[in-house]
Amino acid sequence: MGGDDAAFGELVRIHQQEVYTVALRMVTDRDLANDVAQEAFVRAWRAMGQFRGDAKFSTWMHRIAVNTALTHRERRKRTRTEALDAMYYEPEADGLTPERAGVSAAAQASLEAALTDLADPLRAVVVMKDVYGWSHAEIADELGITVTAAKVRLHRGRKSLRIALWDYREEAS
Amino acid sequence: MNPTCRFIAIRLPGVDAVEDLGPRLAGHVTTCLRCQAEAARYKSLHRRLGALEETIYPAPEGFVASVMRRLADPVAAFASRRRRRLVPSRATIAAAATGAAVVATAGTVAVVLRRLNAPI
Repeated sequence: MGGDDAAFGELVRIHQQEVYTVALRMVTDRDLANDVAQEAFVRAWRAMGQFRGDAKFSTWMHRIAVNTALTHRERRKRTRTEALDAMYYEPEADGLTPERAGVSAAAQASLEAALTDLADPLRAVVVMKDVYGWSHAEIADELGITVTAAKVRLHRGRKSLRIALWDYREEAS
Repeated sequence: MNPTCRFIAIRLPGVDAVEDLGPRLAGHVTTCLRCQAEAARYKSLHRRLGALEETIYPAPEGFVASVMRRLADPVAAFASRRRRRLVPSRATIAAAATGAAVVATAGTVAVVLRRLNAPI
């Protein structure tokens, strides 16, 4: 390994926060996200030969992190109760915050709470599409479902978030 | 709420922008305050979800070192270690089988010797 080892260590250092954040959004539990993110880098190291130079390393790592998180679903179910108590509304002291996008921290906290409450399959699709900008086809491919199923899950996920974030009674009136 | 409003409320979660509803429904939205309000909620939802990409959470302390340890460890992944514990290797199975055979043979010999030495 040697030089390759050091180079990969540098990539891990540069991308650790992004990959950890993707993992945390997918599994919503800090300890599990830590394990998922570490495993994602281990998988990336083993699959480095498949990495195409024309793609961004961060994009490739996103895919691996999402895929790794999906394989941890069962384990996540066992820790869900604890996760809801320990969920993550501690803005990073020196990092990027939603305020830069014109969104208040309180509004984002309520959104993150609503996302956490979404069922795993719905949250995965919403995060991939609306947070990270994946296409329906990419999501379908990664999840092993049809494009139609991906669209249905997205529709249901967004509608659930809308109901959670705004009083739905006003629509019924 | 008229049927068009109801139909738009059903369709809105599935589109990225009001224009994706098609010209007739998008045209209705421009003239209906109720639909405009609903469209504004989804627009806000899209903006807020998009803003989440900018929110980065710090990885736990010692993250890089942990990853590098996992890479250096020949057993590497946690899952592999767990699998190894659950599924014994061929060498382990062979050693266990040999041990069992030795114990069985020794037991048989002891029983035979005891019977030979027993008074008639």
